Amino acid sequence: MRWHSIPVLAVALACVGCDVLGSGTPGELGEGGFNYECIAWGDPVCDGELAATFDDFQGVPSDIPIPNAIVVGGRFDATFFEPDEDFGYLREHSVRSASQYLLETSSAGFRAVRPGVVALVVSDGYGVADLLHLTIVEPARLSVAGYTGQLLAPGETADVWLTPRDETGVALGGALSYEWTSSDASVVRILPSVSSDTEALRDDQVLLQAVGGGTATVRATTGDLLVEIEVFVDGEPLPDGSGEGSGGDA
Amino acid sequence: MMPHSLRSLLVLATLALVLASCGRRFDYVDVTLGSSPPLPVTVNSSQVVMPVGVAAQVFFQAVRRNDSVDGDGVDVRSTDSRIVGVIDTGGSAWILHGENIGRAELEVWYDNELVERIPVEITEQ
Repeated sequence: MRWHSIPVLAVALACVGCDVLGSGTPGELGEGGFNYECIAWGDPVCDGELAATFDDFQGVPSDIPIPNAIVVGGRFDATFFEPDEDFGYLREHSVRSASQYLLETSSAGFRAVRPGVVALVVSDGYGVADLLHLTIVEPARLSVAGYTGQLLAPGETADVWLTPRDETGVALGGALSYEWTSSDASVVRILPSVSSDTEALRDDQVLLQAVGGGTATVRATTGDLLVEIEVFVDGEPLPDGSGEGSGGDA
Repeated sequence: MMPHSLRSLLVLATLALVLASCGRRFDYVDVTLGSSPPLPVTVNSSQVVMPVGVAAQVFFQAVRRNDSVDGDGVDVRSTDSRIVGVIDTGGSAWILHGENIGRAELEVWYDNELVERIPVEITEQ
């Protein structure tokens, strides 16, 4: 969503003429490449890590291609880079949505609103213009990873995280928001998961903390999708009863 | 001495010639698709039909009988940018994009004169 010229590092310059835009997705008009940016933790495109942004790497743009499909409700950002070999620059241009009906634009990036095909469009008004269509789909299911149903002892914790997938099991791009609840906070409670690098809260991932003996159901919802995870805890409740009345939400 | 009626006739003929030379300096507006959208679109000088969300590069050129073309004097505007968006990308190329489902028109201007109105329909996907 930025609009300025960018000097690139020597290593990037060395690539001019071979594949200056890395693995970004070429625009349909051939003027440059569209690069994907994760804007929140939990975007499967970035494999659980925020995309390399321009600022983070002192001039080298992220080169993540636009994924085949974005999940409805998914948040992400995109940039466009036009190679200018005469001056050894990559020029970065802002990208806009062709339709707010399908893909909303905000200062933070884009949010997929409803399923369909929608174009990302770029134009600087001086001859550089390109576009790229992407597909927005409803998620078919949420896959669960981390906790696998093993018996936990009170005080023990286990990670669990979700990934939206299409009917064929392919992960969908875009960060989603989830609601997490525990059916019995005296058995298991839900702690927010924090990125070790940035201390940012992860919405797709939580920490299950075993509190006292029994079985509880942890539920995660996003849109119309619901995932239920049975959690088994052995032994006595924690002595301080920290799970009592703590609520179950992350 | 020329008769008055003949003089009037000559004046009228001269005026007609002057007006003809100052009239449309092109014969038609050529509208052609410049990209390959993933969903079917119809783009010509009579109508534009495209699904919501889709964008297409479109060339608008004023064409004379001798086949010379002029894209620089052409301007294209949407009568309702909430339905169809128009982005001037320089030269004779524009990007049209379906913002919302509905109907609108494209106004084609040539040398600051409105020369065509093209109906646009943005459809469901």
